[in-house]
Amino acid sequence: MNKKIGIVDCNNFYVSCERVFNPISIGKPTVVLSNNDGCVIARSQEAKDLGIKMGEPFFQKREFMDEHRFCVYSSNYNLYGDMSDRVMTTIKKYANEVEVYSIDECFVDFSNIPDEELEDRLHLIRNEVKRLTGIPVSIGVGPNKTLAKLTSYIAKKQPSYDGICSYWALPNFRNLLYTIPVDEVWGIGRQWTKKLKNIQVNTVGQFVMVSDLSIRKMMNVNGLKTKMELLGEYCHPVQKIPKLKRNIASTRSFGQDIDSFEQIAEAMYSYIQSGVKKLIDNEISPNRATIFLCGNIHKGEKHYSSKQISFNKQTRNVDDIWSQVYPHLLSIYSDTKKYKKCGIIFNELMPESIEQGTLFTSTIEIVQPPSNTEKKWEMRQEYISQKFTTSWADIPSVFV
Amino acid sequence: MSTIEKELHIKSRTTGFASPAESYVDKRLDLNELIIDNVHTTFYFRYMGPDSLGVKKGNVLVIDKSVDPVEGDLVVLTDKTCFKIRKYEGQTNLWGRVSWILNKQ
Repeated sequence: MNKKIGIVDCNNFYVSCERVFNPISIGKPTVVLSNNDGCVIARSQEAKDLGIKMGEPFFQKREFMDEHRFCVYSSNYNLYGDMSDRVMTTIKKYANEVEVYSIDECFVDFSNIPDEELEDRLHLIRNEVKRLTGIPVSIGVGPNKTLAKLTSYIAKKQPSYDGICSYWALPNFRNLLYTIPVDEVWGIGRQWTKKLKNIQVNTVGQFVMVSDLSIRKMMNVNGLKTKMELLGEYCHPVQKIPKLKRNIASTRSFGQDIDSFEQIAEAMYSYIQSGVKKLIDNEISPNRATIFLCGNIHKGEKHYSSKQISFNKQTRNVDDIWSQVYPHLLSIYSDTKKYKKCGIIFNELMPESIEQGTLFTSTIEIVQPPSNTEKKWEMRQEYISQKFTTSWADIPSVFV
Repeated sequence: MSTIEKELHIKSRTTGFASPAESYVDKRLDLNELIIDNVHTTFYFRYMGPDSLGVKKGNVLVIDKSVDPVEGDLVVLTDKTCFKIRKYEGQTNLWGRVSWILNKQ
């Protein structure tokens, strides 16, 4: 049977979340900034029309945005995470096979829906997500994930696009491929794009003409799968159950450069806490972790030090982990350097541990958690909106 | 404590007499069950205007976006820069229908 794979994509997701709770930004050019207010990571259509690019450093555009009365928001992941969950739950009500692919996209297998009912179902999903969450979505469908993604890319370029598009309705698809840069294809990243450029392959049309053998040699089996999917075959199934995570990272840049060990220790402790929360949510616990400290690369400070730690037993206990991280953190820290970022990456993750015996586990020296000092390492979030849906103190106000 | 935990708790007592409540273990009432029909479409607002339309300043409004309002229902509307409560009369700038008004005495 013919596969029908859809990609449901929230439009300008972070901006859309802000607009649900900040009506002042509706219709105005709006952007959301990355952690530490570094650069633009989401843009409203109005902002795109004014030439704001993805990833543009905020400080370079600040005056321009003031002039054009932009609404600017720091990223508010508490809000976006909750809204994402609401959107995905709504989609799952109308489709059985859903793979949440990222915070703002999911793949859906619509193969069991008869062709003649598909369009109605897509409209239903789009309208219901908008009605129930306030978030606008677009849906592209095709015979596989790669073509569903590409279809939705093509559709978004067309002014008449109303948010639903189908690969089978695209006229002259093969010719169209020669107008699309190869790096727009799902799964073709920067590395492969560079290699392909070296052999004069710039468009999707050119890419599908490259021999299987060359692709396998230059890329790998996934590159070949990408080519096959572009030609209409089905290689990547929709995975309802997410793969077990291989590692969990909790890292972030500081709001400013830091040289004091106390500040770094405190930041690391808080990243351990948020990392442990992710471990608990995923029902896994680690055997090992890597910690790292690094300088501000934007200022040319390339120093980077890291350390692998094997825990004395599989653990998700913050104080256990802290006690074992602390001596290593101390050992990689240098008081002559300034740091911009630190973090911890948990690995060798196992499903929740069966309580291990203490026979072979070495005892550890307990280290007290760092005491609260002035949090210099905290993120810069000058323009953050409230946690409208996850904190009682922050629920939106309404008037008469 | 979940029902099962409660059951275990009661049954695990090894001494004394069996609790006369043993066969009456029930789940304690949970206000969420009364107020929230759809957790994924429920949102909360705080009313900050003067007492009006049966709502007092500081009341929490529970909004279920999955329920469409009928004429006369209390609703929250988006009004250019902020949110307002109104009686529903078919306005197009509807944010959601108020299902509960929580008033702390």
